[in-house]
Amino acid sequence: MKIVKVEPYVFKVPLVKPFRTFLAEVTTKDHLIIKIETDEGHVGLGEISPLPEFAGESGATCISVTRDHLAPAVLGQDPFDIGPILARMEAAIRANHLAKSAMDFALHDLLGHILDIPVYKLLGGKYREKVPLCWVVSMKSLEETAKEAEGFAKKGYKCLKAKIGLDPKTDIERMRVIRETVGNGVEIRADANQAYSPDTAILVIKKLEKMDLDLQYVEQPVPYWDIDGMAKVTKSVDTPILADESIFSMHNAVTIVRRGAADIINLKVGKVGGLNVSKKIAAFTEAADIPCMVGSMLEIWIGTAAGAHFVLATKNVSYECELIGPLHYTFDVVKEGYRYINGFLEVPDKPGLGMELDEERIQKAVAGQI
Amino acid sequence: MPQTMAMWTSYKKDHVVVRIETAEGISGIGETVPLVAEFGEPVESVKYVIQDWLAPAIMGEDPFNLEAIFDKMFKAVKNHLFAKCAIDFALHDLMAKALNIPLYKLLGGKTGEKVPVTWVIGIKSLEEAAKEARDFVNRGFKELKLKAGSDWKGDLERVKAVREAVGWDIPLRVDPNQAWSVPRAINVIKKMERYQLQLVEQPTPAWDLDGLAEVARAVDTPILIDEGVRTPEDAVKVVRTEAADMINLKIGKIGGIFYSSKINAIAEASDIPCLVGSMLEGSIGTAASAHFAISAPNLKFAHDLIGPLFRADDVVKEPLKVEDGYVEVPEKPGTGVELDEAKLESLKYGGRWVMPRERVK
Repeated sequence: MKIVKVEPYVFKVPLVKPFRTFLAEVTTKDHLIIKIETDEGHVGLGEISPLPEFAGESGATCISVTRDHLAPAVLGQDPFDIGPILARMEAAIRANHLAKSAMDFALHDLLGHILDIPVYKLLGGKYREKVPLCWVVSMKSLEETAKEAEGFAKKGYKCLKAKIGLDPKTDIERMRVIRETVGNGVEIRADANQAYSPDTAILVIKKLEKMDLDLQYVEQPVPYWDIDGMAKVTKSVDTPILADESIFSMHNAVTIVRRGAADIINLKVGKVGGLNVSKKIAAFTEAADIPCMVGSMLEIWIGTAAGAHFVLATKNVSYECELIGPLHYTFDVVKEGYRYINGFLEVPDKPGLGMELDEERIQKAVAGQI
Repeated sequence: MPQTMAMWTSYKKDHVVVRIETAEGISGIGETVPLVAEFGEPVESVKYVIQDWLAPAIMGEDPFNLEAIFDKMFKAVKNHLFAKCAIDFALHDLMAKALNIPLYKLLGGKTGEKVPVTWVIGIKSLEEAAKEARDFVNRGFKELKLKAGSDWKGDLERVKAVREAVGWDIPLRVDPNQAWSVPRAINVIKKMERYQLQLVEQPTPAWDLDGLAEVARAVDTPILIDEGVRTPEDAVKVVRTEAADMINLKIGKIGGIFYSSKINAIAEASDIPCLVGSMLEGSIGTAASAHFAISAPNLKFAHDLIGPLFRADDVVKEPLKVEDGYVEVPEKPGTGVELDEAKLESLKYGGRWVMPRERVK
């Protein structure tokens, strides 16, 4: 069996509401879809939603990397040789982990369809029944923050995250408001997206600790490249520290562990190169006693589904995950997604990722007619 | 064929074979060759642990749910990794059979066309060792391993004799199975380096990571850790202490393919290559290991998958081939080897699973 076709598509999808973080305010997001086909007619789908400020990749880089470098590494290969195919992609072009992730998702989806099993069965089986979720409140006014937090707590979400990093006072105030609004029955976490210096981070986190806000953790408080600074924060505060932008590969994860730079890892399956690499990072962090949380880059359904299958299969993912991308859009390119129920994402037992492309919608999207 | 190492001589080996069946009637077979001397698992305990603890823990589970199954097995009984390996092999055989594909396709496909194996020469006279080395190189083996650790001067002489017998193009590794102290290891390895060693395996006691790190720093030859790594947590300790340059993924001691993949991931992320060792399993265990070896990344050397060559008999219909320095990776569904029920019955000692053992120091 051979892979005979690789078709990448790039398009923009508007968000229901603008999403603001320290890194950027987004009103619309790029999405890359990769469709691969075998000589026997099996199809695999992958998707990723790049944010240049976060990962250094955009829709434009993803599609050219896919066309010019990844497709030649994949075409003609037996899809079961997924390990060697990923090695060929690594050899073809360095970095570009998002584009590679989309291809990895498509390969896993394809194998699932060929073998007639859901992707999670290729990843270690069903460890948990469904994905526990965390809703992410982007930067907004105190009133809007409180209203959104209350709304999602009522919907059954047991965990909420706030984007912080504007200035310490506002940040602390927003966390206080969220805690007061939702009470102690809901976990709350904060994500600074690299906004602070190590010293400011320590100051802010210690204040939050004094206020007994009981944050579950604080995410990526310092710049992605400042591993020593993050280690200093991790050692200085009692609140657990989660590394996100500091990890784009399994080798980054080793560095974090060696330097004691974080307590938890945000294992976005779409930023590290896909499910295969994610399993390796999960193996490493599990043995190093560092749990993982699976975040998102606001993917639509296909990319979100890949994360969901990984969460079902992976023991070391022990925090509420942020696989909430599809809730930010009214448009998708698949016929049917999964269901969000009471703060959980439910994954049906369909072959592959269980998604079917709507050809008409993807043509519309690529033509910019959403 | 008896095999002498630093710790013991084996004339016979005890094997445990496990068969797992699904409600649909699909079955998978696994095998393990436990070792009392180093790993503290006699066959009696393997059989008991599987029957009384592991089987009840996994009964009713979907065989694809490896993460959940291992969680249940570890909650049911700590350690006993050889027993868990037999189950793991059987589950992998079963999954691949259920999907009607050879096991390697479930594990990530083929990283190469063939799985090269090392010939392992036990502790014996210089003449015998040199002759055996020559014979096996002539039979197509491309790498050789010498067991060592009886007396260091004899070891050094044997390395010299074998190197002279096979020339400089055959990679030669030495495995003293923990026999040396740290200063002895540093001293002997430095003396052996003139004969160009590919690597030295577990020179010092398994529990002494700091000592091994000292050896690894002191010598130029790469150090392969074997008995010192049995779990993913051990592997992380090796990364943190820089105790070794390579890891021996002896699948039996680790508890199977699922956990070997985890250790291999840890090693790959840390730039530590691995090779696949063996407990001289028969065709069933060796075939499962060969499927892992052909599919796993990060494996850069020939593997110790030569168990079937040591066997006067086996419990499969067609023994796995080890020829020309390569071990066969069958293309049939599962591991591709089939249990011979009659053979299994005939090899059960006295109708029981336990065979008599003879071991001499």
